[in-house]
Amino acid sequence: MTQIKIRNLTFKYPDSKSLVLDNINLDIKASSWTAIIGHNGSGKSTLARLIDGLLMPTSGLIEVDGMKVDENTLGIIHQQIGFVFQNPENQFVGATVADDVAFGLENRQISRLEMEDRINSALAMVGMTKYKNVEPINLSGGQKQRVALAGVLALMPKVIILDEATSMLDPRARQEILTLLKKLKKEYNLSIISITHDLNEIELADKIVVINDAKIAKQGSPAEILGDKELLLKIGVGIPASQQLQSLLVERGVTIPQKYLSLEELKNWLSQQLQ
Amino acid sequence: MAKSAVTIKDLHYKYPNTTSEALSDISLTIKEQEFVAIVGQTGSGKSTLVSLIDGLIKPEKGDLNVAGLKINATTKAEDLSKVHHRVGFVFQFPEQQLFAETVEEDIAFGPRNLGWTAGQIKKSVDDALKMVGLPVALKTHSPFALSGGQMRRVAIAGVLAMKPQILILDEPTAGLDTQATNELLKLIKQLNNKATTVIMVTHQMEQVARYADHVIAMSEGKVIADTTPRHLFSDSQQLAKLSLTLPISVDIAQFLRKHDAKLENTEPLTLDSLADEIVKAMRSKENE
Amino acid sequence: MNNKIVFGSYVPVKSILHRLDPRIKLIMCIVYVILIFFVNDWLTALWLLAALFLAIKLSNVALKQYWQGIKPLFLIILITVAFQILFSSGGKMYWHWGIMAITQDGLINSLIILYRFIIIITASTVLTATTQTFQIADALAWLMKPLKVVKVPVNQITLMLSIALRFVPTIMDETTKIMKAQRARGINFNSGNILTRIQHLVPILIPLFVNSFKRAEELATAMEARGYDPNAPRTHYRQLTWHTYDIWAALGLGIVIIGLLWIRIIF
Repeated sequence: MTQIKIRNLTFKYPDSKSLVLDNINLDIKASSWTAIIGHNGSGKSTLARLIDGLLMPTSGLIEVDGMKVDENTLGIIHQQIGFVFQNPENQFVGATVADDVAFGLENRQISRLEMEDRINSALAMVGMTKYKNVEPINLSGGQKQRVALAGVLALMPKVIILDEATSMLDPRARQEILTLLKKLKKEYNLSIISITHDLNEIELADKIVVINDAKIAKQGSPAEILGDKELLLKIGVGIPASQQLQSLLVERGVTIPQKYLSLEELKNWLSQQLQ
Repeated sequence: MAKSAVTIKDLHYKYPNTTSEALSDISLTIKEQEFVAIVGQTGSGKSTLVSLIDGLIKPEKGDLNVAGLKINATTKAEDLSKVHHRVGFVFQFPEQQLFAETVEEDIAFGPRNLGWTAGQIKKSVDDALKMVGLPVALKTHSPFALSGGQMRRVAIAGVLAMKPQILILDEPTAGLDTQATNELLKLIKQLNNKATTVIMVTHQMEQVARYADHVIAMSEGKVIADTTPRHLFSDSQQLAKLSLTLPISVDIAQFLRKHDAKLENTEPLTLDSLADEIVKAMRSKENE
Repeated sequence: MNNKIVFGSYVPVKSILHRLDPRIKLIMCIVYVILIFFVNDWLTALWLLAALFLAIKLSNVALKQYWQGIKPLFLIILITVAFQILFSSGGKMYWHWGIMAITQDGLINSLIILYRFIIIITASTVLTATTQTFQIADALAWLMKPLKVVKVPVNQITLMLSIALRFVPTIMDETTKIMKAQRARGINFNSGNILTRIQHLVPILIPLFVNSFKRAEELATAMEARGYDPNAPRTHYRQLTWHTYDIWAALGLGIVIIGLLWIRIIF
């Protein structure tokens, strides 16, 4: 089922001539994981903001669950779509962890009584229960991003947008957040849209959308996109380690059955060959 | 035998008004022209250690010798600042420290503080811009009008303009995409080849495997390992203790070995050498 | 990591004062500071000093820690007092040189100023040492409630205040970081005349401003994404409830006030 429908979407800033996004058409299915990739300044972040109604399109249409994103539906859109930003520090509004999770609930005018339950369960979902009364200065970047995620989950959204949400974290914290997202997506049937240039994060997606020069350059499965080396180099994402190793092996005369193997698939195939 | 660029002996450091030591009993040597990686979890003391090497803080106990300058608890502030003539320090997200009206002025800030002549300053600015691969025409632009990647380069140029013998970098590639990361690392390696000693704090084990000659692993204010990357990555127990990940090539090699593949070299530091190992193992299997 | 005792920072220990409602603590602090100006002799001064010592005792924070918090401000106090001694006239003159003179009135006045300064700073430090900043913000919000009647946007002001307080440690951290980076680029903050020292602020303040603007912009977008609308009504998570010990505290304040008035009338 299509959850987000984007038709002929064009965006430019009022004081600029050049288009940030040029005639974008895209369907995002319910409970899917979509990665949007592209150069810095390709317009991928703008697209995410448009979906959440943080910017309004110059022309074209965006629908979330059949509802048009415009000034009148913003309240519902912000509740249905949770947005986690890049910088852990600059999205932490509350004085403590609990206050920060409460912020969105306060805006939705949830009663004090219900708030407590929602905060507790959201913190449990991200494994931050014991930090409930901790102030942000005493949290690591990864912990702050978990809190940001809890703040989003407390509103029970259908879609979570991650705008380079793991790019400022160290590799361990990044891996932990990705593992957590995988689990949450499955348990709560969430759709995830991740704007990223981290290859590990891209590989988690079931659909990849490549944006280049304000247009969709290509969209498809990880195999279709991650196997396209020229495209990946052009947008500065780099080539996944599994693909690099695969071509190094091919150069050395090894025949590999498929053009694209994920890291896990490649590891298993190699171990079968070498056993 | 190469001369040492940095020697540290029995170093202790405690932040003011804290009870536990941020660094305890550190002794190590960094040779001239080495490419050293400092690894460890957030809060393990990496940043404190490099701040001490750059004379930004003074040790509580112990001695440092940095590019020929002696530092200990009694060193005066003006002697500490002499360190900056010989050591450059690129902080994490260095673009957040840009301040001048033009790119040129910002890059000239360091050399000017060191008291260089106008001619020297001008030349060092041009050289630094060239080194980081930015067009000289950018000199008159405001640094705040540049793209994120360009701002990072300008900030790094500001440190390179001081022509440091020892270059410290704290997570220089944080937040950059793969392409920008590779370009920056290539630049650092070039500087290293041209006789600069490089000390790089990093979380990326791929970078350690690929570029470092020497790795210092820290945990809770102590040096846990002071060795070569190959040796560090072969000691899986120690890695687990430091909660560090393996570079992908070593990770794949160890996975294959666990599944009974016969690889000669179990710590291939690059994908290239891993591919060689795999091909070798395949050939010898065919010959059996 | 952040266990420095600085002026205005919270000391996380358990005590009767820590447990009190921030509103009563804020009121007590304000009333106490007003009372200081009713001091007119040794007895009243001692009476209020005794009350302050009791509060310090009840706060479970060592006197030494308060002293460390106040110490950085001591120089300013001493300079003010010295000016007061040298430049006020009246009463018996002990010494003079040009327009400077030490007189009896000058000495008494400066003694009073010294007393007020130290007492006020210590009293507010007791408040901040036992009350977290966001609690003080909550208490302020409560105090400002009546202003809603005259159309003051109390809710917006309160949210602004609590966000500002939330970012104080962040900005302090950032200042340290920027100073360190500029020192690494060879700047020496402790040298040069006043003019160069002022110039040295530029490489710190500009990045600080630029980063803060960027931070504000990102924060505003994040708040909007979480459904914040300044003109829409909101519910409140943090709620203050009065307890019996708050009544005891109010009673204690009453005793201090009555005691002060009694001393002034009787003696």
